[in-house]
Amino acid sequence: MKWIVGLIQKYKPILILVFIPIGFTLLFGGAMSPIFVEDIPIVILDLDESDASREIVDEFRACPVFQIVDAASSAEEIREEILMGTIKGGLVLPDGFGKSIGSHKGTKALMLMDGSNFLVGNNLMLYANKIFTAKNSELQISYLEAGGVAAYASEQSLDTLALVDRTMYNPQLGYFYYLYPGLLGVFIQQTYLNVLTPVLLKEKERLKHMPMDLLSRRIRAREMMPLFFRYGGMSFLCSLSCLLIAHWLFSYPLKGSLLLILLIQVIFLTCLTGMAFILAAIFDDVTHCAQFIMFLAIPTMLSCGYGWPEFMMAPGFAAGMKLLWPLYFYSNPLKEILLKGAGFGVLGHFLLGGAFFAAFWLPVGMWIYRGKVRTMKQIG
Amino acid sequence: MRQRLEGFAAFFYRYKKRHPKRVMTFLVFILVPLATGLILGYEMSSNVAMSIPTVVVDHDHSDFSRSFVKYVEESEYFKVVEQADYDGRVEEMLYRQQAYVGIIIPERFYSDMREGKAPKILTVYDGSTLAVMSSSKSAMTEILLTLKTGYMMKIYEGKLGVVPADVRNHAIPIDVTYRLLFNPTRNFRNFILPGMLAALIQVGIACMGAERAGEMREKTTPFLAHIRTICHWGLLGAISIALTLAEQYLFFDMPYKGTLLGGAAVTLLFSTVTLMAGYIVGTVITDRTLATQIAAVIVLPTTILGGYTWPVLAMPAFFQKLARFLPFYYYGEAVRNLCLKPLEFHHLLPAIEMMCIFGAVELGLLFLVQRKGVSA
Repeated sequence: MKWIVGLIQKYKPILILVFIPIGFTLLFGGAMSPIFVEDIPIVILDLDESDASREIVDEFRACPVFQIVDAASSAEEIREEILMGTIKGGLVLPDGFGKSIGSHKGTKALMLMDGSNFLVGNNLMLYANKIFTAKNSELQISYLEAGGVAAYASEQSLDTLALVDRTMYNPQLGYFYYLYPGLLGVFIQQTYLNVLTPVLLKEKERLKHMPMDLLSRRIRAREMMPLFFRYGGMSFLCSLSCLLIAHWLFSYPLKGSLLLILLIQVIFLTCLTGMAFILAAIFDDVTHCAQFIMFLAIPTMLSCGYGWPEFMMAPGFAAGMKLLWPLYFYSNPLKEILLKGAGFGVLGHFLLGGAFFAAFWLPVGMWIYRGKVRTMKQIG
Repeated sequence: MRQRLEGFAAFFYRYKKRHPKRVMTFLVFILVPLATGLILGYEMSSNVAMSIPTVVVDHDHSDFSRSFVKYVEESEYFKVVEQADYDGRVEEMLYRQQAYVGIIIPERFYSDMREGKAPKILTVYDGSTLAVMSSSKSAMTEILLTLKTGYMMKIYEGKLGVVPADVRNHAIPIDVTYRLLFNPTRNFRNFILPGMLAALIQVGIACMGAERAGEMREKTTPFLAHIRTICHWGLLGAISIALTLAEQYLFFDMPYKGTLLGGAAVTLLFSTVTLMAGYIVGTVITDRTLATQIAAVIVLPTTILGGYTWPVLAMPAFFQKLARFLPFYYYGEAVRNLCLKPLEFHHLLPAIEMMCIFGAVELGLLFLVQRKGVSA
């Protein structure tokens, strides 16, 4: 056991920068690799038990999205089962369902869906709607034909205003396809900060014991460059490996230019370096700093405009977010590059914004860091 | 000004040096969760995707097509940002993120419709942003379905001479009511925030567990003292989750419809179980920073692997089994359901039972680790 921990401690930067993103890519890619949500447990309450209602029930049974687990005895029972979490939806076909259809009087049906996770709820609605739309079309054609309208003309009437849609860039609406660039951004952010900040904290301790006149000469970008290059290079190689793994194992599309990916990553890592200086200035204990960095993953991911796009944000939020944290300048353009093959023209504002962020926060971060070292020296 | 800043920095530095535990507890359990709740709550103020930038290409220019575009414009879901004159513009705007939805109405649309030639309206969506996509698609389907029903009613009235009272029954033979229970408006904030905020705090709870174990290692204490520490810090973690949910309830209209007692019980158990996981890591690994990092890395991915957003039932069999060993799989679902559903205590019993099992297993493990003195 001890030698494992010893090994981990010895190669910690490499392990964090390389193996954690790759491991999480495999884990999340595997978990989210299925494109469709299938076998959603539902129950059916068929109060009619006519041929027409059984036909609908058979359609539901045949659809792979639904897994009919049981027959319910009341709508209340369906609701209770949804509350318990054992089923995600229920279909209620009322008494007289078949008779009303036969006499052209129109009938009703009720589809209950658990909306608390709307990825599930939406799927239930989409496929139930497909089944009922097909059934309604079939009935309408029979009504029109019975009224003397030619078969072709009835079909044409039904096709009018039919919805034809095309989904671009992620046509199957794969969840992993959508989420992965955002996740990769967080992996890079977390691992890079976790490796760089402890080094800067140790450096702070060393600088504390240096004479005051040497201080301003010692903390310069030049001194930090080899470190930045080493960790930045490892992080870039790792993110490329992650993308290739996602591509080979989970068919993740890789469009766009590699040079652009390199460029946004260089900018992002420079921004993060500025943030690392600030974190190293605020914290004095490596463990506490690591705890705080771990905290950053979820809030930065949810506020960077990836899941909740910029145009939907509350007034002033987007501007503030872009001023304070750089993930926006990496995750969003990465998605545009990978899924759309976006070029420089489209990504210009991300690149410029990221460059401005880095140009501001890197020197400010170093200034705050230097100020902290001075404070530490004065207090002792 | 500079002197004042330096004075503040010096005061903060001294205070932090003197009371590191107090500062970190405040930061981890109060400041970060509440600030995150405030930030994310404000960010998602609109709750659902509204005013989605939409580009329209109307080649028909008939009264019908114009009224259709007006119908779309009046819907709160769409905001027509451009009326373009060539189809390629739709793809161009989607590519440049200037629009997320495109509508193309073909030439002679209305006259073809009158002649029964079944013209179609093409809608184009940007699939790379799922939150927008799901709202826009269902809203657009609803608009077109309303129009189509109106059109079919006219056909039945005109061609078949069906009396107005019966026309609707012919146009919609099976009238299905789709009832999206517990979150009918597809409120994204209510869907995502309860579990995500709990997921954020669980990272802090696990880290605190690792740190407390490190402190306890330095003392020779009976096993009961470890349990006392775990319960004490588990309670603090639960209070942190409760405060964060209360903040959402008070300031951002997030509902809380479930049982308070059940919510408190499951939250306390989850917090204790998570803390104990971190505590075990901190007991085994002597390096404080490494223990913290490992504890966090163990709990962080459970947000996704526990199926909070991408449901577990959609995952491959191996991951479905794996999820059952993660406390967040039970708690994430429970905390969202407590907010959205009128849960009673008995609805939470399966989750409470699982938390008790996790707790018992972890306690046994901790006892073994302590007894055998496993450390690295």
